[in-house]
Amino acid sequence: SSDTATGGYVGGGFKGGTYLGPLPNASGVSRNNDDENDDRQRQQPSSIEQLQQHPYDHSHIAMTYVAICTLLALGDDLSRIHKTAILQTLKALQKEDGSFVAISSNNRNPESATSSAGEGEDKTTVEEKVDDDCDLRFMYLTIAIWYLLTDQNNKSSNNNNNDKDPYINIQSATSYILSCVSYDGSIGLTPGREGHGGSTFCGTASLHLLGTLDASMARRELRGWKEDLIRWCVMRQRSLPKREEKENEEELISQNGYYYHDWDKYAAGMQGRPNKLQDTCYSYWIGGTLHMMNESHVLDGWALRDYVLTCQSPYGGFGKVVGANPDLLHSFYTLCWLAMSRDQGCCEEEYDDEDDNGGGGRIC
Amino acid sequence: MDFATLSDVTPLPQNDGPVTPVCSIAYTSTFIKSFDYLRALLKADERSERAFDLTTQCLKLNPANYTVWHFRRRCLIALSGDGDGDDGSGCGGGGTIDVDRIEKDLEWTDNLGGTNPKNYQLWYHRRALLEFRFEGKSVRESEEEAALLLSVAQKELEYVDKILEDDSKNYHAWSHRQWIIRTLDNPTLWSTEIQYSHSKILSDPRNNSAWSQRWFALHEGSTIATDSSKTSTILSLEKAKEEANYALSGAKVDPYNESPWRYLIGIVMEQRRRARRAEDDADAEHLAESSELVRESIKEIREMKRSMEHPLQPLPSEGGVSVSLLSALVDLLEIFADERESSEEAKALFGELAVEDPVRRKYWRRREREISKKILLVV
Repeated sequence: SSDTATGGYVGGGFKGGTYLGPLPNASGVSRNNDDENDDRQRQQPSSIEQLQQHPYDHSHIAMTYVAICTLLALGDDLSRIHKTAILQTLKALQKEDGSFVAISSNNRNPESATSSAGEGEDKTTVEEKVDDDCDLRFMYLTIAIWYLLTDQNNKSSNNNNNDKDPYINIQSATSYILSCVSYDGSIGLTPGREGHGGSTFCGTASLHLLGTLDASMARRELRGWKEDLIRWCVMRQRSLPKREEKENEEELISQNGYYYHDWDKYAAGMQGRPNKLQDTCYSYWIGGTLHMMNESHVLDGWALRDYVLTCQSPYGGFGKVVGANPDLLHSFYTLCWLAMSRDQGCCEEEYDDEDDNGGGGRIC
Repeated sequence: MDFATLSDVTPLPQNDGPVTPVCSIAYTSTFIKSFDYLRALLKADERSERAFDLTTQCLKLNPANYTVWHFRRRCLIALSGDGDGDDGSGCGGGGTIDVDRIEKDLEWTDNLGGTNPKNYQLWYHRRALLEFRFEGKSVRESEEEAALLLSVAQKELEYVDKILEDDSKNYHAWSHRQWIIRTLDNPTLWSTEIQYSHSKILSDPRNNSAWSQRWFALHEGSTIATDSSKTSTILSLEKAKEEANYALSGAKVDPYNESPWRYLIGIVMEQRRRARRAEDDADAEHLAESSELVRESIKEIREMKRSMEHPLQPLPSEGGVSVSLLSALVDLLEIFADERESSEEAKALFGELAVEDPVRRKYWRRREREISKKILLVV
């Protein structure tokens, strides 16, 4: 049976737009019909209204994530959002294999989303049977929401597998992510798929936020994975020519003790997969993955900076490649990485990694 | 789109907020009109022929709107034989889509996808339609049905191949193949996929997706951290040797190509991990066998390295050492880090890499430092 003790919210979160009218209310609360007479409902603040069920008036995990991040960026304290509704909804979104679907529908039976084997008729929608909408993009969105709303920052950084989180199954989420690890150390979007910069970031970030990254890397069946992952990330940076032996030292301009190279001669961007082209957004996906593991110092940060700066548009913003028109996605991720590039000796030649504890794990 | 059929509908505008919106999109008037009508039908949840036609119109304008796709599928269900459009649930358990509608929509999606081969929703829609096609047939009642399913799958795989001809590394396309093969789980498909990957590798050995697909097909979709209940998909040592040779042949075609080198390491490490899988005591026999595989590989790679350095051997056009080759060599040597000779060789190679691969000099130097520490311990 559904979790009536907690009210069984399944539709919490944010939707993309309001064209379907004022329903639900501003805090995005949706209700399971069964809870109509639940006492606890009446204890809720009176501003929360009973909703009409509408098949397309549902929240979407990406919208919820963006809404929360936007509010935080604008300095909001999130006191006006119904955290409980959203967190309980995350529970309804998690599948048995640990992955998360994106859509919480008013019509979905919360039992079908979380029931263990043997509950009888499978009420899941067709969409759930298909492996889209439950890939690592949605894992990351969900875990990030969970992390922010449960204030994980202020909790113990070590998530003991024995601690049962009331909202998400940490263990199965971890297992799902690990099942996406590829033979070369990278992470694919779903199990079996080729490893890719975006999914590698989503997987690593999720494990990091879940607090299970270190434990995962210590697993017997993943022996050597940490080193593989670091190597895979490092190999994504484009090769540079060897410096000519008789290079004129004066050509290198010293700035703050660092040598500043020729503008694009020593620029080296990141690719998303082996044998593919460089693209500015991978500076974040790959650079961010390393940053989370406190490993940014293995990158040639200056060369990467040089690359992304060559992709800066005369109109402002960053494009995907040199000469491309700027767009929001590439601008955003490039700026995120540039901010991170100040840490962990990314742009330093010599770096004592044993000294630095700062910078890692900062969430954008 | 004939808007006359919607004359009784009151369009429902988008709400961009109470004040002047930030960064509002410059929609065309056709776009606004189409979507205003769509919103009205969504609100009414009208699943009809005209609603279906409207989704066609709207998807031409924005093929990435997942709500429109979702609504389109609900219309398809409602318009099909036993459509249950009335109860408002539209859950897959209740309805299905007629086969001819599936066929038509697959074709339509193909036409729409022409300029959008990387659109998530398009690929998802194909899967959703095929899911209906394959639904309830996982228990094969007759050989006839199994053959029919197989031919549907093969037709779809041909479609994907067409897409891959334009862009051989399309991530969605490769994963669509994986979905089809996993869903049917037919031995024929698993083995033909090995062949398919091989043909793609032959036509472009630098296609990392093709190498990745080979792994997928050989392991029937299981991955390195999949539950131990699937250990049967770990390659036998014999098979691993074959694959190691395959990888090395691929590397010989182009030693600078990272893909075969990483494939080789993946194959080797799978054997090493398998040997250590049981408890703390490594499986001695497996360990010994896998060690032999490692040593054989090291020997071959050293040979390749020597031949590339030979002054009379014309170097491949890129010139210089192959970082991928050296990187694979050090990874294998480090397996025997407790042997002095191996660590010393690895250490020297890290030094070489720091010079030859300047963008990764900090990384190689770090690994050099680490192996130096190990060498001190070994003494």
